[in-house]
Amino acid sequence: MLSGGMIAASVKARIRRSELMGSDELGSLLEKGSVREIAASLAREGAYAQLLRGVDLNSVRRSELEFLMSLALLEEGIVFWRYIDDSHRRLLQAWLCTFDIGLLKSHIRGDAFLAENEEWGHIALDKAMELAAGYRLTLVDGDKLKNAKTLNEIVASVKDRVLREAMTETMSFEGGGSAVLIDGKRAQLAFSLGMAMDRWYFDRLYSYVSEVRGSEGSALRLLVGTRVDLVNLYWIYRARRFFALSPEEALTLILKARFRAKFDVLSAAAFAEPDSFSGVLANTPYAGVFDADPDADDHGDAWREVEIERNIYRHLMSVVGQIFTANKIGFQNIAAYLTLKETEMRDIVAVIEAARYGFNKRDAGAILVRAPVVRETWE
Amino acid sequence: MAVVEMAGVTFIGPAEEIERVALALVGAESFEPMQPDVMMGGQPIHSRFRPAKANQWDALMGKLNDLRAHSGMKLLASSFIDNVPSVPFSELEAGIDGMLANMNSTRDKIAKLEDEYETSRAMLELSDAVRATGRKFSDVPRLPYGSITLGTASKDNWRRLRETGRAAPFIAVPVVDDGGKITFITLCSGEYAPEMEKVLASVHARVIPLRPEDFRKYDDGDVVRHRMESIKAEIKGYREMPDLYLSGGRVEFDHLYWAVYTMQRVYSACRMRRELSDKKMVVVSGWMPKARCDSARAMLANQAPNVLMIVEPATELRNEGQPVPTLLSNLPIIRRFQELVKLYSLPSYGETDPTFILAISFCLFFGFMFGDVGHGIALILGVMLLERKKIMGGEIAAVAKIAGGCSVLFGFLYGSVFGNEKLIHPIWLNPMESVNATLIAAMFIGVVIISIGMCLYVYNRIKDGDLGEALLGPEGVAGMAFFWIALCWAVGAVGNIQALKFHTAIYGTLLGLIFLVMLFGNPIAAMLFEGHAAKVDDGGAVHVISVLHALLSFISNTASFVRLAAFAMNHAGLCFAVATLAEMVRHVPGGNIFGAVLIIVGHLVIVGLEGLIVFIQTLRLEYYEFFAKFYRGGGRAFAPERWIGA
Repeated sequence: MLSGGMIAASVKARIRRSELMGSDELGSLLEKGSVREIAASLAREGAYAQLLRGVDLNSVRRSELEFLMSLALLEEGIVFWRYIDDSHRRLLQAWLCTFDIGLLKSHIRGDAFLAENEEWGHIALDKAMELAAGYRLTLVDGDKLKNAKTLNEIVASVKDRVLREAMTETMSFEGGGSAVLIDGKRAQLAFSLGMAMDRWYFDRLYSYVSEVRGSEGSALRLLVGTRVDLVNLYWIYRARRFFALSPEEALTLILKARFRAKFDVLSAAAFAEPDSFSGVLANTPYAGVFDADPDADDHGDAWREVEIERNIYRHLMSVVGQIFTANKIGFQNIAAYLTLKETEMRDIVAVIEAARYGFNKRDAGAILVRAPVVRETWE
Repeated sequence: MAVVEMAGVTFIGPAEEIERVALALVGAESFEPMQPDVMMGGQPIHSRFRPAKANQWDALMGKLNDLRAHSGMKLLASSFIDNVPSVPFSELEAGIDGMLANMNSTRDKIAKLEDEYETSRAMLELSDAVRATGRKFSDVPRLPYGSITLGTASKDNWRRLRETGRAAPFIAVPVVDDGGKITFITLCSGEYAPEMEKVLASVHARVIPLRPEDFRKYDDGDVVRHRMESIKAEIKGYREMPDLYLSGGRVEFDHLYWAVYTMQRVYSACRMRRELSDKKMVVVSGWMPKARCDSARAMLANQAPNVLMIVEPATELRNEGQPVPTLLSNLPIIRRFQELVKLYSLPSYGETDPTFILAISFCLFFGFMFGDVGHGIALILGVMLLERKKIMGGEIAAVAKIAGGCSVLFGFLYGSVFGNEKLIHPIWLNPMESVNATLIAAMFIGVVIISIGMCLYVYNRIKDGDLGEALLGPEGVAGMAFFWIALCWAVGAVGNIQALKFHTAIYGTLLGLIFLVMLFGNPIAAMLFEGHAAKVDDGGAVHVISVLHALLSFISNTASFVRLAAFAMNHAGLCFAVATLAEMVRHVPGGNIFGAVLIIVGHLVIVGLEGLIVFIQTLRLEYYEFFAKFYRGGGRAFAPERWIGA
């Protein structure tokens, strides 16, 4: 039985959806010449103004700004917290664990701003915990993470036993653990740990939504299931094309969860040559997602990776559209809205990086999920 | 019965004295830390103080808990410790690290032995299977075209390996499943062996290297079994070591634990401190109920004479934009209803606490709509049962029991016991027989509640210094006058009451004038009251619509209270329906049993379902008709540092 709170939350999700940044606003943001100008524009008004309050806009750095952007998803998710019952709170917590995982990844990588500017790192974490007051970070013990100096201590801050064991296993296999945070050689281990966390996150989330019944469950399975399938396919594609792994190795990386792309599709994709990857998916709902853009210039593998990521988000947006069009009350509205918010954040981060590294605006516009109208001044 | 007056306090003093102060504050549960920047902002000294690093005692506490968890030791309970331990951090840390090092070395030894045990177990299973085919196990590595690998992996990684085997040319077979880890063998062609190695690496499998001589070792199963027994005994011995080690120094460990715990609480209260570069001078700020400031000063005089305490009224800090936390203070029985206020939103600091009026009106509304002696008692018993089964609890259960009590009270007023109106004589009225009186009573309650809401609105606006809105706003005195005059007009006309019957033109003129006052309230207030800025943001059209909306809401809000009478009658009607149905089935075979079942089920539904609906309707009246008139909410609960709850 749907509660009044869920009705309110569903309506709120729809209202907030209408407040998301449009292509035009993204285009204006892309026009800005520097990270500071972007920060100033975001701080002036809109959904990010509150998050940027108190930030020194004259000295703000890309990594700092991107971290603050990542808080937005948590902030948005918490808005729905008070409206929903315990079973849906469990879902929301599982969904928002992506924030905790982001924090863990930052610490494991020893992100520049966390490692070099320990004080700011602490303030940032405090800000996140203050934001989450009343909600609580579910996956990470914030205080332990803040004090962590070694990988072992970072892993010890993870509250979930299953994930902690998976991470410990990865570390003991790859021989990490006691290294201090600032250590450039840990990239491989950070990547493996990131994969372990992502696998845990998506498998858990999918198992939770699989328990939801009725139309709410179907819609949630469609959204999370689509994502799970796309993650599996993307990981296989990435492993085969960019990391040159064997088909078998690529198959060992994927999630336990499957939606429409079952193991036979995934193994066929893994054993296909990267260039014929799209062909394998021709008869699946994911046809076209991994196609190369015929109009785009070939900028190499890194560009191709970003392009596919954009396609994946666009496909997810079409699923989100279906959910909102179905016009039903339930947690799927919150999930769909959070997916849109995540997409918006991804686009803003892309804009920030375009400004920081001086990308061609036309190219930068092309990799945004919500493609902005190309302006004549863009080169 | 109000929002407690708060103060922003700052303590500046030597670190060791600040520690004592912090501990006393934790014990008193009256201090919520905040950034000292709020209080020190703009002061020249501000820049000399640096923010403190994270609480180092958290990590130490974590290590101690780790030690405790692995030894399985239970601590002796401890109440609040009122003195700061004298042992320095470095000394405590060294002691704990030493204990942990011992513990970890034991754990490593256990892990190695467990590995050996698992390998032996897997090889034994395998060798038994090979022997059963009539072959020697030591012949296995001499397989000409095949490659065999023994390994262990977590369940998840094992699943990944097995699944990959469905699409790749190798076979993976589990040999031992110990619940957490799977020991397995893989078989593949010699050519595929290098690829197999990569696959095993990508699932993080631990490959157990097997040399031909290892296979020979397992040819004699009895020798292996004997070795496994001795490994088991060794593991048992090592497992008992930490417990023995810690229980030998039980008193010392307890002392150490509580010393670290105390300091962890102290530095949790000081987590937002700022300190001079030599860390000898510390600044701690936070929120505190103003009434506790005197006892805090007395404590400083006794325990920390060199600490300076600066107190700033919370109102000033609020005016500077600081979110002052809210602490409510109510009588114990009224406190139960704070949960209902929080459910809507906690009052912001300085706002009127509506808990008392909510408590009274909640009892009145619920009793009015669900008045029945029997159902009230059943409700109380039902809640007690749910409490016992831990399905319901806390303040909501207490409120539900009070609601049951109100039902009993109104049951006597209505003369109703399980819907039977003949058992006791009504003290006041019977809702089904006195429909008009019930409706009038409901409307009267509505008018009183709305008027209280408007009075509170006026009071709050005067408190905020917004006299214009208080006097001329549609929800202020002008609105209230409009409401009461319109009410007198309606009551005079409908009830034919001579005392209220004036000429229509008089009522019309009065209402028209007040309407104009409300319409032009902003410019009039700007002329009359110094400092009142005319609100121009919304525009004229929006203002006109909002005035009209406020006037219309008088009608809708008052009419909404008709539900009090409607539910009172609905309750009597439902009871009547249950009794009629039971009477109807009485004439069929086994009718008495059916009738009894119908009565029991019917009344359970009434108590459960109707009780819930009435509860929701009561909250609806509170939140929409009453709170909407004056209440803003949006407060943040005061969250002091406590001894328990670390």
